Amino acid sequence: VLFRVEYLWVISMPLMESHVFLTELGRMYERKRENGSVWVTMKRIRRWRTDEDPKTIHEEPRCIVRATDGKKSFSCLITARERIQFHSEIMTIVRASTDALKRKKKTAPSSRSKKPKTG
Amino acid sequence: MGYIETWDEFAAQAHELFLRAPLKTRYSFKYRAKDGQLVLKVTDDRTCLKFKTDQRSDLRRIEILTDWMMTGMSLPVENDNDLESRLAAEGFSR
Repeated sequence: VLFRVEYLWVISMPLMESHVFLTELGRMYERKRENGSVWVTMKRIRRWRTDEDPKTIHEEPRCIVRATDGKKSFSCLITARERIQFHSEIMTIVRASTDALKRKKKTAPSSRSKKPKTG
Repeated sequence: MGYIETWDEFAAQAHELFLRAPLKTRYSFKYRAKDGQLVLKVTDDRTCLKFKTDQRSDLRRIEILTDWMMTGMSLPVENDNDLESRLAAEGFSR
């Protein structure tokens, strides 16, 4: 659960290292091949603390990335420095996992094909 | 709220919403394998923008929007009012 107490974000759900998050996300997409949904949510936070270390209040901007299948959820925090790498990796996973999306059919050769060059 | 018909309209409104309320706006995408559908949502809990697709060719656009969002959401600016100019400086226009 992620809730807000006077602009202080309390991260109660499992918070992981980004590479662990990505592995878990891949697994979640796999598990949900036949049934169900997978949500990935991103949001900006500036002031936050975790349940594991409730005394430390962090005051740096982060992009929180959260994944859930409606039952299990987990998240990771991304810094500006990690952003390029993480984005590339998460999109690779999303591309590989969303194979039920339709591919555009190649159009059949047109009957009005170009006349071959003569001479 | 209904789904926005065109991608360009959805992306433009999504950028605007984030820049208007950077700490309230969240961006999400939901995949349902059974329906072969991706539903994207950008909301600040007041305005809700939704777009859905069943086309693989939309993944490139989603990649670009996700890049824009992640950049804006992780930018270490002192004041969030500077997000728009900093995003522009990094090559991400509105």
